[in-house]
Amino acid sequence: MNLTLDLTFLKEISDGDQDFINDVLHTFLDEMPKDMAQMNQAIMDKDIVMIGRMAHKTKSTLQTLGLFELKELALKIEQLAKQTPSDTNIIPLSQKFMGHIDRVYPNVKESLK
Amino acid sequence: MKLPTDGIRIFIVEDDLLFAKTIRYILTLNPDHEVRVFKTGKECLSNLHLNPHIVSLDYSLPDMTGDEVLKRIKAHNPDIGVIILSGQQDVATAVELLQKGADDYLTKDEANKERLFNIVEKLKKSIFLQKEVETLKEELTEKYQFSESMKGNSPAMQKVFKLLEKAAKSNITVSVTGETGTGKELVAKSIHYNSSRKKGNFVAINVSAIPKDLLESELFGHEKGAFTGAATRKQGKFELANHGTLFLDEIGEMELHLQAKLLRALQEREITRIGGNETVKFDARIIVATHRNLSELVSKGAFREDLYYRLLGLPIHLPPLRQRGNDVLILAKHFLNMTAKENKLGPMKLGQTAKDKLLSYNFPGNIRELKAIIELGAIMCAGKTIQREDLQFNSPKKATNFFLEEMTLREYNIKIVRHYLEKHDNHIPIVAKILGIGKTTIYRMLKEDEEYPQKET
Repeated sequence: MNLTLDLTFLKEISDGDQDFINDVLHTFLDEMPKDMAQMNQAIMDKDIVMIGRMAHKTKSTLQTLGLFELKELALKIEQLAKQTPSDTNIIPLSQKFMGHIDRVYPNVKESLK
Repeated sequence: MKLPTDGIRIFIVEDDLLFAKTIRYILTLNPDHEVRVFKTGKECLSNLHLNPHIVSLDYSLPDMTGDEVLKRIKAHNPDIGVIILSGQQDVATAVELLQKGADDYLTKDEANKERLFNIVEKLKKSIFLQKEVETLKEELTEKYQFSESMKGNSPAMQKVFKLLEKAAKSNITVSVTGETGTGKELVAKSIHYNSSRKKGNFVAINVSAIPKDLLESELFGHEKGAFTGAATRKQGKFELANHGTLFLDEIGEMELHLQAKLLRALQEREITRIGGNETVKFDARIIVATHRNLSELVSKGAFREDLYYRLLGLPIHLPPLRQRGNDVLILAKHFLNMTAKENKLGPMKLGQTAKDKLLSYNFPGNIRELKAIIELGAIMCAGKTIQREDLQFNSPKKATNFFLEEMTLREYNIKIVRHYLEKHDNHIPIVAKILGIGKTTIYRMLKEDEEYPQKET
């Protein structure tokens, strides 16, 4: 799993405006832990619908930061949750997803200038 | 396209704050955009009083479905442009929302600067062009209020006003007759803009002004390749007037073979484009007008009897201006005010001598001629009050209507003399010989005529 940020999109739209990019990265560091906490709670509750919802919510963030493989994983969790809401296989997949997210934080901090 | 002076208000409804910030950054690159972000559907709905022009809506929100939010935005104001943002795999849902009233959609994967700007610009154009069209239509409706567009207190016109109100309240075909220049098209427009069809188009076609070979295509449209030069499909006037009014002016000039096609269209309420097989339904009120006597044309075999009865509907006859008494002065005052305003001449009025002159004239060109006379008079007038000598009657029908203009014998005499002088290059001896009067009589009459207006004023 490639967990390296690809900030091409953000650089393109902002003409390399580092203040804007930093603001986006800070938002990731502020918001993603909250989402992951919700996902964790949903895993504990075995609330598949909520797991799917949280996976859905993270997709656009991951896409924006160029974390494409992680986004595909989020999509897979979302789709599984929709297709088979009782599938408990989603839980280990979601835990794996959360583990990857944990490993993204240092990369994000590194990208802050 | 006129944009509002206080900017374009855009709402972003998105629970992913990072993505919302990115979209906001892109949209605020245009300084005219005032962008607000809302994380939930409820937050967005409770801020609709801020009158956004455009809402970018994530179809999947934590508290409400995109469907629900869209419905409530459109119920609040159907003019708000709504863009649905969805994931690539949710395009089917986004398309479904398009069918439910969303204006466009964009997948989040494609939400780059260019795509987002294009979509917003496209929406701005359609929203504000639509607004402009509506404003113009409102202005037209105001302009064509019966009290604004049609002036006159004469009994003949009071009768017309009553018929106009009946016509406007119904959907009946109306046939307007009257001499040239009596305002037949104005009547048709006034009926349209006072009727329930006013939001539809008013489409006018002058049958006598369109070359015979083109009239059929103008009315019914044509398919691509229907004839040489038909490079694209073209809608005809019937289609363009759908849900509105079709005004067929000078209907008496229509050729018989086309009358048959028109009759069929009116009976079936559908047309077939030239070169096509598909029938197209239309829903338009028909108003026809002519300066000719249609029943006479029917008896001569120049107009189909069945079409005549189908078109007769509610007949409205517009009296010629010469039969409208003091309406001449009411209209003259109206035209004078209009001309003074348009030309920034300040307030102007009609002097008594001008009023007398207008009331004594026959107006063969009716209201159109009166308008031209007043416009010229206002421009020629040296002061603020139009006098007799400022008004020039130049109707080409003047010579044939010589006796219809009320004048004194002296005025008739001078008119005859001037007519012959003009005809013979001001050669007084020749004119004297033709009229059997002395040259000195002519000189005296001309001198008196030059002094006459000054004496009068």
